Amino acid sequence: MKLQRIQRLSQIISTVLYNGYFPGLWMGVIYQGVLKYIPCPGLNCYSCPAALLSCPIGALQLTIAYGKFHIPLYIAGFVSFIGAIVGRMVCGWACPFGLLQDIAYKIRSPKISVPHRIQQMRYIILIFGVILFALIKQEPWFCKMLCPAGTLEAGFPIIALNAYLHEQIGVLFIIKVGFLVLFCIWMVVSKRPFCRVFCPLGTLYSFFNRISLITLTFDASKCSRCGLCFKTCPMELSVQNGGTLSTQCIRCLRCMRCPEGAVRIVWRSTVPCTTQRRLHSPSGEAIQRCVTVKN
Amino acid sequence: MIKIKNFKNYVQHYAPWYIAVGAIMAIAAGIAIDEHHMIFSYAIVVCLNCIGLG
Repeated sequence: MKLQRIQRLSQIISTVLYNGYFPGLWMGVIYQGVLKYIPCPGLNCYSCPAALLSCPIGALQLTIAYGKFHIPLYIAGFVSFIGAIVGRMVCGWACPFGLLQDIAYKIRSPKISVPHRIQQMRYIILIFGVILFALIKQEPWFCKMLCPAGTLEAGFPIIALNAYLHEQIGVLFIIKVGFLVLFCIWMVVSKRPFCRVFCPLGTLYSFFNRISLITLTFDASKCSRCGLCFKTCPMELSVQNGGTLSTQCIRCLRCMRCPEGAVRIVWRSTVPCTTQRRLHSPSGEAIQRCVTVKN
Repeated sequence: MIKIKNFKNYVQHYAPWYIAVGAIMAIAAGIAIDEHHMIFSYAIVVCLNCIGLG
């Protein structure tokens, strides 16, 4: 089976596993079992009637807002553990909203790339929208005001399944729907705009990309500069310019389709490197350190 | 004795293990102070406010 098909299958299976409480979809009530103690690795609203697990971003804000010490140890530990092992791989393999964006981009339309400068906005969203406003406002501010995943997965089903809630629809919900529509249009014309510009969970995982145990290496000496890796990358990263170690790399492994085998996935060695070998482009410019070299 | 010539390389090789162990300890500490239960108690309520309703 092709790697891309395995990835798509993994995305579908994880979406079903996160949202496996099917009775909730016709009763309109959310799951109240012990699985809600566990956060899911991807972005999936816990207010969704079918959600079995908690959303790590929602849970993070709840702990910051209402926790005993306002320090989210449980969620920070959970995110750090996954990040230390796989980096941002969850975004590529196990996020329902990532799956939605991948499918939406397949719709035929004019395509535009996401400007690099606005991609830095995700740090502002994380620091202010998720951490500071939760602390100051004492509420899950990001979920309430911004999260399009929550509007799609929780807002719509809950309103559709509970008629008495129709009168609760106010300006805020309409603004949130508008925000979701904006992202839905954007994800048709651009590759993964939510992940690149907005997602606070992906931003948290991205801090671990450079040090995670599972990592990607690029051998510039094998590269024929055919550009296949750039064309297939859902984050529009250039492998030749250190894309495999970028904070935006979601480890979808599509760049491993390289016919020359220049990109490899490796388990980082536990033996410390005592030397560094620099790989060079034909022009002599240093490209990327090889992390598996040891004496 | 291993002589570490490059601290950055050393960090890149050992950091994920340290972080993983630290993360497990953080999860244990979170469970010890009942954080998981607090998340659960909020997550089981249909938080209308949390999804922009109400």
